[in-house]
Amino acid sequence: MLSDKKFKFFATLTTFCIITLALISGCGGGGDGDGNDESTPTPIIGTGSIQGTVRSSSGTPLNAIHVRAVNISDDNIQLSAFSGIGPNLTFQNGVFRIDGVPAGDYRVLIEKLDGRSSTFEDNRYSNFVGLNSPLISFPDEYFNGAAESSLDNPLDFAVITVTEDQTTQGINLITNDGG
Amino acid sequence: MKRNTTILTLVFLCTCFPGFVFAYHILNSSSGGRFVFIKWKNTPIDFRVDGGTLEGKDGIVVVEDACDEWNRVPTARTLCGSLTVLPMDITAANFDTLPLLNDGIIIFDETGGILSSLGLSANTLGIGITLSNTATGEITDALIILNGSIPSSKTTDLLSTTVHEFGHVWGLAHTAIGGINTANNTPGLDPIDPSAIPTMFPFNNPIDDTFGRTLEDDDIAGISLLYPQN
Repeated sequence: MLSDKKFKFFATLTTFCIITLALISGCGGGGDGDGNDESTPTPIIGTGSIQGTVRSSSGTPLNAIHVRAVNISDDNIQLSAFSGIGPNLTFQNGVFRIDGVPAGDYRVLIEKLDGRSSTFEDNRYSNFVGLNSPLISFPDEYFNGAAESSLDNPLDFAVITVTEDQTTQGINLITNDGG
Repeated sequence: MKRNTTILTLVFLCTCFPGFVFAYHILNSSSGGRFVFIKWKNTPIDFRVDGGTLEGKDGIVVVEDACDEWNRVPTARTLCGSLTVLPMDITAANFDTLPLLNDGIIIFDETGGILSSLGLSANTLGIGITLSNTATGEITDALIILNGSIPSSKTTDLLSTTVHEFGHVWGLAHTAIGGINTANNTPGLDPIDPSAIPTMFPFNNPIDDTFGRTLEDDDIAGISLLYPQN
């Protein structure tokens, strides 16, 4: 409990880059007087969204999978999100949503974070993955459209078109987890 | 009326660690089984700024430039308000006497002594701290501490650090775009050019840290989702 009068800091702090609870989120409900319904984030005008799911070969929804959209015309335009966070910033198993995507054509890929680095907030992602999601291993891969399966070539991709003020849905990825 | 508790949300920017990444993401907390994202209720936010120097110079310039970068986002509200320079130098001896005034405070830790007193590594470039209501997620106060003892160089840029820490103060977490698979030293699919790594990437850019001065699409998407321009 902090003093009302001044800052008091915790005595023990780590030197790693940590963020408390930087996981799923949901709107607090109610309004803040600005006319916006806080339960539904206002769409970012002039951009679109990409929404879909990430599942294992057995159909199990997977969370904390990093989903990244890469612009085909300029591959330095990249935005991403984690699976497990759906529309309106609510927790939804296996669902992902990337907002604020500039209109254009993209390829979408998935990659895991756990086991990828030993120095960056691994404990936090492990906890996230532990929420209704099994730990599995799979190669990084692209969304392959109608050919998407657990046996497709991870490097094959389908072009996803993002239109302003619209959500491109149905980007449903299946991990090639060998199951 | 049930008393609301506050939590201290700590975010750090460290240096000298291998890179790793993560999408625009918003700080959040859990209350009664519900998740709320952490953000300011009213914007813009005013700041009190350390009256001392930063790297031996007037630190307000860096703060102003960092504020301008966030305020230039056309799809987000204006976030950075007035900057009031305090009439004293904030040091390890007096920094914890600053009153909470529902605003932000920016401290120039010229010697690294304040960060050290908090138990942080001498390699910490800066930190951003927010106080928020756990029930509503409303940020009520914020603190940025910038380490003036690490000279700005191509790989440790003070302005990039400041822009990054402001991102945390607004409620953004670290991005995951820009890292590599350090276990195998492989970049993964579609590695991004270092010049395009989002500012909210948690580590300094080993190629040129000044790249972090400019917000990228991922940063802009995150802040626009949190504070959309009507």
